[in-house]
Amino acid sequence: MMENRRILNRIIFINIANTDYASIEIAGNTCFVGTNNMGKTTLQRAILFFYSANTRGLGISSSQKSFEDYYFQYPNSYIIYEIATEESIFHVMVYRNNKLFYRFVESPFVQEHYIDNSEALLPKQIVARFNEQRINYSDQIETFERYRNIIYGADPDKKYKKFALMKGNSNYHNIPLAITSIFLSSESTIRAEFVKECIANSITTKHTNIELKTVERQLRQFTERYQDIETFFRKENSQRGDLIKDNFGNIRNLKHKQRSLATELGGALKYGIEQKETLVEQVNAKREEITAVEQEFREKESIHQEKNKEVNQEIGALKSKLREADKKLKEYEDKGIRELLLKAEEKPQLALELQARETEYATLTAGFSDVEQQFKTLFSALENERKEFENVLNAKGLQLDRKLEEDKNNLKENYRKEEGELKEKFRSETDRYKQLLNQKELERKDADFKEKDIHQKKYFDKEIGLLKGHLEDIARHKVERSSLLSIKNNTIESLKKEGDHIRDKNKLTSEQYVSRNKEEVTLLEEKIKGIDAKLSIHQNTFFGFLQENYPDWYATIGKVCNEEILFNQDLNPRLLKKQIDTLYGIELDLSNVSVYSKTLDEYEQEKSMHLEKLAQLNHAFLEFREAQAHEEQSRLASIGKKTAHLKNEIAQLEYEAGQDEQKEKQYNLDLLEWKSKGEALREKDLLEIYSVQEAIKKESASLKQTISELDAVLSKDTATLQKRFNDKLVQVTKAFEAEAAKLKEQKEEKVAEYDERKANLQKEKSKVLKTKGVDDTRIKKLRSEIETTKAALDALDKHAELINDYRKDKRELFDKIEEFKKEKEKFEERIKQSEREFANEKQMHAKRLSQYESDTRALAEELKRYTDGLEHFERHFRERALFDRLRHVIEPAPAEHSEIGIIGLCSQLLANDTEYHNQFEKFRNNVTEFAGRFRPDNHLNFKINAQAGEGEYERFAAYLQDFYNENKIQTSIAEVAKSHGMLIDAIASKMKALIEHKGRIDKMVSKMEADFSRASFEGSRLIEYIKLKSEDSENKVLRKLQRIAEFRDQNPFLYGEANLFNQANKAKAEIDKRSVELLNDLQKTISEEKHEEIRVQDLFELRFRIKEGKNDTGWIEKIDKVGSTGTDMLVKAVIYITLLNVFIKESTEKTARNFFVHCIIDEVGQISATYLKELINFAEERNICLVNGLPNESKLETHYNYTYKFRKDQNGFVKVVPLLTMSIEP
Amino acid sequence: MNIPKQTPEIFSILSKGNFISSNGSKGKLFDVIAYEDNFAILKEFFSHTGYHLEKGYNYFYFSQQEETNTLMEKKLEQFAYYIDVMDFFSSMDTKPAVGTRYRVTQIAEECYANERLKQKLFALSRREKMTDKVTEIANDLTTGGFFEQEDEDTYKVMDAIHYLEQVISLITIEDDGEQTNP
Repeated sequence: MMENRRILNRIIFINIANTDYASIEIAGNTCFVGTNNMGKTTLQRAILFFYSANTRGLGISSSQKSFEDYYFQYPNSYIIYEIATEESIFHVMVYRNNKLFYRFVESPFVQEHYIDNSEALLPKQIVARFNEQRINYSDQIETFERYRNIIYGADPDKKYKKFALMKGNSNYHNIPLAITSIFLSSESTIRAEFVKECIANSITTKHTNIELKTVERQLRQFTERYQDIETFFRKENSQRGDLIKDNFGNIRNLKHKQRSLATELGGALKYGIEQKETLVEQVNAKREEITAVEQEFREKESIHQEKNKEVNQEIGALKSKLREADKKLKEYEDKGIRELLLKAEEKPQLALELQARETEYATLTAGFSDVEQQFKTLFSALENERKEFENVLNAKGLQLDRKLEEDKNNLKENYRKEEGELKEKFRSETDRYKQLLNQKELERKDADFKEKDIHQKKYFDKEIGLLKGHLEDIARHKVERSSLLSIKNNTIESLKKEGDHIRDKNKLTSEQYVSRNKEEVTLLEEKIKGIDAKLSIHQNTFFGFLQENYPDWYATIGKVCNEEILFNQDLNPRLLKKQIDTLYGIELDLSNVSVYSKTLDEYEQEKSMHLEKLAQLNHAFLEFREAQAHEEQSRLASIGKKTAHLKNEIAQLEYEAGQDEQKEKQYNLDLLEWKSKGEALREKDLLEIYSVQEAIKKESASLKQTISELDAVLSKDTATLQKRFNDKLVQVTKAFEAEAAKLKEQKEEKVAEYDERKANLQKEKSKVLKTKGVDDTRIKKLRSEIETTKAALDALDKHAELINDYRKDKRELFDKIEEFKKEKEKFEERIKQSEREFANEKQMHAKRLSQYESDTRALAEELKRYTDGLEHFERHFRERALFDRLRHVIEPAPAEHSEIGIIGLCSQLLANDTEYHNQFEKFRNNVTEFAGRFRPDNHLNFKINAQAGEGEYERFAAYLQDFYNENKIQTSIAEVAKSHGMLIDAIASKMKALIEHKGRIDKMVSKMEADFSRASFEGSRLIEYIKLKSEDSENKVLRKLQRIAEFRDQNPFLYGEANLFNQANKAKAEIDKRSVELLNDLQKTISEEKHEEIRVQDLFELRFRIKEGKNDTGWIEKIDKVGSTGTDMLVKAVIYITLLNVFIKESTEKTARNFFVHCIIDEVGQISATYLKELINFAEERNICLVNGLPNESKLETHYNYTYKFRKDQNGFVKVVPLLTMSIEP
Repeated sequence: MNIPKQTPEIFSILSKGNFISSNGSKGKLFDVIAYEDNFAILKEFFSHTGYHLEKGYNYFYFSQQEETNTLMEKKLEQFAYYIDVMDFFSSMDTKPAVGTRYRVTQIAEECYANERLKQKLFALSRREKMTDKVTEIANDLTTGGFFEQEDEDTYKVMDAIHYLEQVISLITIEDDGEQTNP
């Protein structure tokens, strides 16, 4: 029989579950009667499977066999759905080959095609039979989706169009969902939740749901990251960060200093060892020199003493001689030597006198004989006497002359001798002084040379040279540094400019992008707005009118009316006559004219396309911004890194400059000190040399004075000597003259006496001759004279020995007293001179010795300094852990002098180490506190492993420094801003998509409401009304989501800047703060509420109100019990059918409602026959066939078009037996 | 006087004898108290409740002017215990500086390796397992507000540890030799 509608006509089971074969016609209201476990539900489920084509949404619990395994147990198991259409009948075979497949067959179901000899054929055989029979069939349909598309008329392939049950739109899946939902909601209670779910399912797909787990995860990630950045920007942390930076700098400087000190110490130690050896040698050499000098002096001293001893002996001898002379002189004086000498002088005269008197006496006494003779003899005797006398006198005269000559000669000789001695004495003296003077002159020259040398000498040349070398190094470094600094500063400046340029460029690009984006967004929003405006009013416009009353208007009016006319509300259209295709009476061939207007779906589609594009734009904007921020950050980071590196280098250079400055100061001070020391020493040396020169000068002057004095004394003494010589000469001459006069007088006296005696004799002769007599008195007188003379001579002989002794002593001693004295003085003077010379020698020796000692002392002091230093190092440094740590630096350092000294360096190193530990302690605490403020797994990677040691903290500080330098926080900020923007966008767009459904929900609710009102059950008046209304949702999470969406709407372009932490713009900061708070709130609410997702049904609350008889339920959330069980059932069925009807209307093209669907509601046994009839009618009015299940046969089944009973045959196969095959008209 | 909206939360923490440290999970509340004049406002506000809001280095707490002797004695006992616990942590390789993160297993390992530390720990807790002992004392410090538990195994040292350090530094040892420090 041909149907005038499209409907699932028949279902055939071949080897399905417990059924071997069953063919059940269901092209109307169908009732299955059967006790439990007879296969009612299996069949109902198979009908549902036709509509849903989803093995999982059939209400099979997980403990049961899967649909495939339960239904398709054999390779030749088939479910065949036969569909009747206006034109023909086709069927769909479902079979299993591992998975389920479909095939559409263009023919009614023919049992022989499938079963041969009571045996079901395999799919291949069946296909072969179709081929044999020339029956068209489709390709194997491999997916449920494709099958559904074909059945619901949504497959793009036109060849399948004929197999469509209805012309579904994009929402056709609501129909199977609704059918499934009704079938599955077997509960006795209809909850608003269920209806809501049905509404939701009918108007949307699961894609519109907001997965809260995902949102919560994204929110958590965002919040954590936001919190990390917030923590980073906290005041305490930025301060702490600075402290860490400072600490780290200090530590590095201290380490640097430690290394340089260690190197210096190493150098100083080696230098110290070298110096120690050298100095020991020098000190020993000096000491040996001192010993030699002392030895030399001692030798000189003994020579001096020896020399003096001899002279002293000489002096002693002279002294004893002088003493002896004095003594003897005194003895001679006592013996009256003077008188004796005088007497001895007269002895020759006395001897002559005696001889003369004796001769006279002999003559006188000899006889008087010849008086003539006598007298002659007398005369001759007298003459002889006179001659003798004259001879004596002459002899005396001669003696006198001789004596005079002798005395003169003696005097001259003495004078010459004395003069020679004097001259000799003075010459030696003068020579000595001259020698001394020469010596002084030499000394002066030496001193002058020394002075010149001192003037020219460079004191502490080595030290000053070293310092100058250091200073030159520093100056050179200064110049190098200054050029390096300027280069680096310039580089920094250019890097800064580059950075600014990048920022400016990016800002410009960003602004351009934003404005372009804004324009596009605005355009799209306007378009959406336009579509919304059209959609919101379409029901009251010409368009709405046509939709409602002129199903095919697209092909005619749609081609000649523009949108302005279509959406005009003031046209008041009225349908006068149908099927007249004229325009104001004029017929037009519109076959080649395109359609102006769009369908509602097309509008919706366009809108969603725009929305999607909008979302894409937003997303693209966020992507762009993040990418730009990333790119900017990476470029700026490299600049920052370079800048920081340069700054570090600058800091290092500045530190070095500082150090050098200090060193320079120190070196300058040292240089000044050495110079002043040098000058002081020069001055001292000069003063010394000046004093030496002065002394030499004085001594020279005094020597010259002495020499001139000596010359004067010599002249004076020579003069005195001359004078004394002259005086003595005069005296001698005078004495000679006196003697000569005395002799002359004596001669004259004697000559007179002789003459008188001659006269007397003459007289006497004459007298004798006259008288010849003798005179005895004369003889007597002669006698006494002879005797006196003899006595005098005797006395002289007696004292002759004494006189001889005296004369000998006089000759040997007394005359030499002066000589002795002079000799003694000479010796004494020599001793004095020697003493003076020795004193000079001693003084010089003392001076030399003192110089040597002072040199030795200086060397010893220096040696002590090095020894002390080395000892200090051994005792107080080597055993320390610090030494072990620095050993690798100390030991290889080359030897070098250190101003600070080993002890100083050791103390500085220890102080440095203490300072380092103090600083490190602070540094560690700061790092710990800094890292401790962040979450343990913070995304900024500020993590510290406390057990990893010092290196870990330094690594952290270096990382932190890099982080600051490269401004890495910007990357995080950009990421967070992006995730913030995306989150808000995603939430807003999802909410928008979700809220989009609100209108449709309301529409659906109102449609349902309208549908309910049509279910008037006029006949029974059982149900007065069923009302339905929607209220705002109470879902807290949804509210928060809504607030975020609203926020997004209010602040559409808040994402101008990619920084949520920028406090510069207060208004923006407030907005950022608010948005973050909103997100935080949402996260909190999600975790509190424990919803898994937000679905369309969460958008609203649904309330029922049913009045049955006098029972008014009021606005309730769930329909638990409305009246009796039957009534209750009825009401629920009504609601289900209404729901399905509304969904079908919503999901299919309105113009072609020529199809029927089945609504499967199990267990309707409680409904009274009347009400059931009314219900069936209610469904039929809505093109819905009911498929119900009844446990037992009753009269109810008579109201159905088809009633089947289920029973099992002897093989246990379920048999479906039709009870009535004709529909009974009520 | 505009009191911050977080005042009830602040009060509920501080009135239990806890601290609000800047580096803890309640750092935001610390920021609220430290924000502009809020400290003075809250101090004034809380003074009516008998509590005095006090400020330490990066932490806040309540003090009470008048306390019963029993309460004081109890507090002193508590402090004696805290001092021993601090002594224990200070004897570790990682000293309890603010922000330090201790893992129970790590402390237990160090105790196994260090006999002196082990003895100290044994004197502090009677639990059987080493990790339980460590957890007990760490929890005690957490209850006192000096530590904060970050996850099952990790505890972080709070800014409030300064309070303990300060109190310990205030203790003076008499010279007469007979009186000993508690």
